[in-house]
Amino acid sequence: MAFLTPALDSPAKERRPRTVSVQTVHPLRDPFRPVPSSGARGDRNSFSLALKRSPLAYAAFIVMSLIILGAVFAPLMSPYDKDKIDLTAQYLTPSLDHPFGTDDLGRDIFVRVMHGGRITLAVGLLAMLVALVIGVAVGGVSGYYAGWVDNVLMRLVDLMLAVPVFFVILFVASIASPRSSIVVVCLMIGFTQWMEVARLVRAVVITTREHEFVDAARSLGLPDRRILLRHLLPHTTAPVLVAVTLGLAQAIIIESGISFLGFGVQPPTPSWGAMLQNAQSYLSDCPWIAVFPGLMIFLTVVCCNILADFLGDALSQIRSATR
Amino acid sequence: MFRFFIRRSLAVIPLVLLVSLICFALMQAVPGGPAGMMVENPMVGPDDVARIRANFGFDRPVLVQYGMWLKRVVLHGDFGHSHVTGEPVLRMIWQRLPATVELMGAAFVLAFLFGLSGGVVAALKRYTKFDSVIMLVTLLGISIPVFWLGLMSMMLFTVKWRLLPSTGMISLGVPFSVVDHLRHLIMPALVLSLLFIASWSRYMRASLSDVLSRNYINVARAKGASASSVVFRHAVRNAAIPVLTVIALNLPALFTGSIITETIFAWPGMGRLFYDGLLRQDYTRLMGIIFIASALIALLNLIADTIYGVLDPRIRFAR
Repeated sequence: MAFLTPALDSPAKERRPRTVSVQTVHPLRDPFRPVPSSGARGDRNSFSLALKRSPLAYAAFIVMSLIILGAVFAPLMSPYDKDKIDLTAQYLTPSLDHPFGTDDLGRDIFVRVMHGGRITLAVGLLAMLVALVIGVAVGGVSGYYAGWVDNVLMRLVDLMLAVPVFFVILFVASIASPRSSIVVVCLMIGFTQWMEVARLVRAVVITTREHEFVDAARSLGLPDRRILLRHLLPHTTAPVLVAVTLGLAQAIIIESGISFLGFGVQPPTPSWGAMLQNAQSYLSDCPWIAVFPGLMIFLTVVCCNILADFLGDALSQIRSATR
Repeated sequence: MFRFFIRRSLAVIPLVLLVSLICFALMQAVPGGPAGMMVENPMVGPDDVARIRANFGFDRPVLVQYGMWLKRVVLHGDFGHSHVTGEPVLRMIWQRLPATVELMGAAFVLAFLFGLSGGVVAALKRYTKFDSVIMLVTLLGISIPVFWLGLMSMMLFTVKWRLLPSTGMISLGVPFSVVDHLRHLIMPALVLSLLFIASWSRYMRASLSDVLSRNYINVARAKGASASSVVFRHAVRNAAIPVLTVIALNLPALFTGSIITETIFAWPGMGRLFYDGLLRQDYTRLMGIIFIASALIALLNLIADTIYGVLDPRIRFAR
């Protein structure tokens, strides 16, 4: 879903000659450190201001917070046991006692949806963490060292982009034992979703490494690792944050799709995708079994997309304001 | 141009090999190996299992087995026989391919027509209420998971309003008619295409808005070209170039989306074949489908690259 993020074309491959150019230093900017673009107090204020100015993003922020809170505090807030089978309470329509109704085994769907959020969000976040680590490492090394390392890594990215991801993840998940399949799915999503992050990080590192503060850091004798980690990678936070938010949406869609087909989270563990597994058989008599878990996936993904869109705009504005 | 094409197609080969090798290696890691189904069968003794393993070559190193498999595929187009039904895998795929192509084709036509026209209209009415409605709808469209959309449309159109059939390609027990077939096709095709309608119209809007703000559009207006001529002859043509490459790059996703859509709507295509193979642990079938899928995806990417090369000479001559 690259169309929501600002297009960052990869700049030309050739390196500029590495000479310390003599230029007047901006009086307000310490040349030895990257521009602090996040964490500063002023930024946070302008961030919440921007959030309030965009009603759609504000709504998405609130809904997303509610979903996360519901997932985090699910065990404290559930009046029913999420897994307890109650054959006297099968197929109950949504009511005050059971806001989302009950399923074929008499379990409360509202409680299960909240608990399902724990699994789905955790899997999504963990998968994106894996993707983030791989993507930042590959993109950073590729952009910093250039030359043949860059060539090899970028061919790897091209290669990965052409893998029939969904087929392969399904295949691997079906091979894995049911107990470990969710971990496998999570890792596989991470292994197949890092390319966007790698490309963004590489693009930013390539443009930033020509700045004077990098030359300064090098002339101070700092090792490459430190230059890369402390001086270059902080500049990638804004685009990477956007890419990770979009990637989270993507990871949730992939995980729930696989769990829906029966190869991810295994019952009785609730996850939004797994709860829909048998829903198709109950479409005519108890549609609420199919409606609510899917609605949660939909809401979460919409919120992620809106927030990514908003973050992209807001961060680029903040960045241009501090320059 | 020709050399560009050849170089690109050569780059495809290692990818297909790598993906199939990884899947092949994973297949060996299954408890019991590819003969796992037979090991679980109580009628088959340990001696027989050992004999079957030796006959199929399952006891040899993975790379050797892969080489043998690849040799058969490349030289004879033989993907082996299904462990479950005993049919040749290639024939199974060949039988299911038309249904998948039909579903993908229908979804593609829908997405192309609605997506591009929606994007053009939104770009022309930029920053109006109409535009924001389209943008909101497409935002929802790119966020909705295909399987849930399938379930919900089934719930509404089949269960509630009884308008459309929900499973299969034709009604059973009724003589074949085109109308009946189209009624079966419309819902899966719409469900599969919605994501692409939404995302392509967003691309089209962005691209056309960008073009409309260019100077040459002002020149065209200033020289007195009619409004429709400016939009369709000058703007849309140029705006379509990046969108067309996005469309070509999305074709593999259309293929992937058909797995889920076919599974929900019991559409007898390759996706359904793959899903059945997963349920029955039919590894030769899965290997065959993944091999063909990655070749197909690589081919589609190649087409996307070529379109880009044809439309934008800078790409062709830069290398």
